[in-house]
Amino acid sequence: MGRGELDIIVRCGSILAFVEVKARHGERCGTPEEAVSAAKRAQVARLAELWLASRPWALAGVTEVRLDIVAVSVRGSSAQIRHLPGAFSGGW
Amino acid sequence: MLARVRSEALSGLEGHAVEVEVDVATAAPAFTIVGLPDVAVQESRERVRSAIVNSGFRFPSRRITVNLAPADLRKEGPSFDLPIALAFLAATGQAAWPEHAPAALGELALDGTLRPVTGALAVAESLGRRGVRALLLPAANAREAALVQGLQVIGAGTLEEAARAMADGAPVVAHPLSAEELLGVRAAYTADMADVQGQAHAKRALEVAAAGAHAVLMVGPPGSGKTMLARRLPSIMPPLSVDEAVAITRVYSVAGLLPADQPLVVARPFRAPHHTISSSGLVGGGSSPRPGEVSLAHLGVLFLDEFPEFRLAALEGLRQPLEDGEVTISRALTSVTFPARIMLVAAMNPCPCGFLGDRERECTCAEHRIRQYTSKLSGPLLDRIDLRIEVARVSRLARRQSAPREEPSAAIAARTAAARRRQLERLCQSGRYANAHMTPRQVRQLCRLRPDAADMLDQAYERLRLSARACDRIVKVAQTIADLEGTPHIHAAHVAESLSYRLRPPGLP
Repeated sequence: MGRGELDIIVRCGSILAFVEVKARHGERCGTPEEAVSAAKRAQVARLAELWLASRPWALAGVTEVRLDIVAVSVRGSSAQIRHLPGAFSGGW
Repeated sequence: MLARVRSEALSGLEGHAVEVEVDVATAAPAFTIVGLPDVAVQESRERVRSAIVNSGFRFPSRRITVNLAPADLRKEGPSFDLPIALAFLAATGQAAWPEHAPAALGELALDGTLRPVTGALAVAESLGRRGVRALLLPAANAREAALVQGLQVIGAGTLEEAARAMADGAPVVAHPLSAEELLGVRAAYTADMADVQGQAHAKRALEVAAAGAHAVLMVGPPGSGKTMLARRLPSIMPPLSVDEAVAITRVYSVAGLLPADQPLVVARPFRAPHHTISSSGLVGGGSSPRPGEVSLAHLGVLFLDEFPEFRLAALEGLRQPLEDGEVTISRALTSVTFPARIMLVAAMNPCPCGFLGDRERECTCAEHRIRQYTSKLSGPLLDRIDLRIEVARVSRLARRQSAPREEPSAAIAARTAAARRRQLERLCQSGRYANAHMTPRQVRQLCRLRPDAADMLDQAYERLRLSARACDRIVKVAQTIADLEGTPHIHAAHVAESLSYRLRPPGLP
């Protein structure tokens, strides 16, 4: 149930975001965004629920809770970083 | 925050109140629908999300829970898109949705436009009966729903319009439609009996059948005009009453067959399914039952050409609707009833090659092939067919000699309507509407035979070795003939004519 890890938990003003960071070398196997599978998303959503459940104070002053993805494409020695706010949500 | 919007679920033609509740909570984002939704309702989440964003509203990242109450009723189809979206907008403070706001239903496209849904008329009627004052639905459904008196109907083209309809307090109201006017304006039938030359005997038989809603079997070689006659039968049936037109529209609306530009079905239906039709196609079926051909032919004509070629199971399935005027389809979770007051018209060739008994061409069928062909029409079903007639080919000479002007359908329809009125007066207490549906007891009580008619019937009973049921059918048809003539009693001539419609055409068992 509670297996896995949350990469980043960040608060910015009234927004609380759980961020899944995914990196890929090259594009041969698709983009890093694509690599965040349905199972992974469900896992992150579940972990976020658990994290919040054990820390009720974390929601004080928060109006929005987001699940974000930060995608890192590595090409040789350079990397490109994209931030997708609210990239997915939990539920059925 | 929590918001509620009223909606409606249909099972068959019956409406059930559904409350759409949306709760938006600050928690890990999720979008969940509960309350026994089927797949189309689950997929509503994707349509609602896109429609909201593409209509210029915000879709905040929170936990959204949609509950469709009552939780034990199965919710099907896409018509909850609009109430879910409206409740969501209200719950997130983006739209006002007061307590006495209208009920809503509609399917959303991804860009926020509203797509028409099926069954709008049945929903509107059900809401009206429950005392709901207003209904918000896709503009394409507004005219159909506006047939319901006393219900304010608001048609919206997009989600934004629907949301604004409430905020402004100046809703886009579709004017109430009057079914009487719609019925009066249209010239409903394109095919007319006057197109058929000759065939006086068959036409008279069909007139009798139309007047009393009797089932007919036409037997004749290919090209003799069986289909042509059957197609024109709706036009000589008594003109549609307002209630009947609404009843037909209800079924067509649920089946999704109502044309967009036509809010009311104004002509009696004519359904001619192919003989390969399955039994559930004919009587209705599916895991969430849909009306079959018998229900689509409600108050009209179900024409079964090549009658013996139909599957036995399909034909046997017709017995209940012919008897009761409705079909009940039972499934594990639901049981729904659709109306099916049909006039059954069957047609067949006398033999596989089609020319048995023809005056000009010789039949080439072997004896046993003919028996095989007709053996499918076993007792119970044939028993429910009151008139059996032969439709012979009309020779070119006869066609040229026949009267230049055949009687138009409207004149015949006036006679059948008068005859039907007499039947209704006689049958008004029994809940039946035509002679064909009288019970044996009603036949004894209501049909008054003059002595000469009774004598003739007794003779026929002896000589033709009729069963009691066959006798009843002869009296029913004779009663219809008397009603067409407008006489209170059944005369010998009426019995004689009735007997002429049950002569066995060659090849029939």
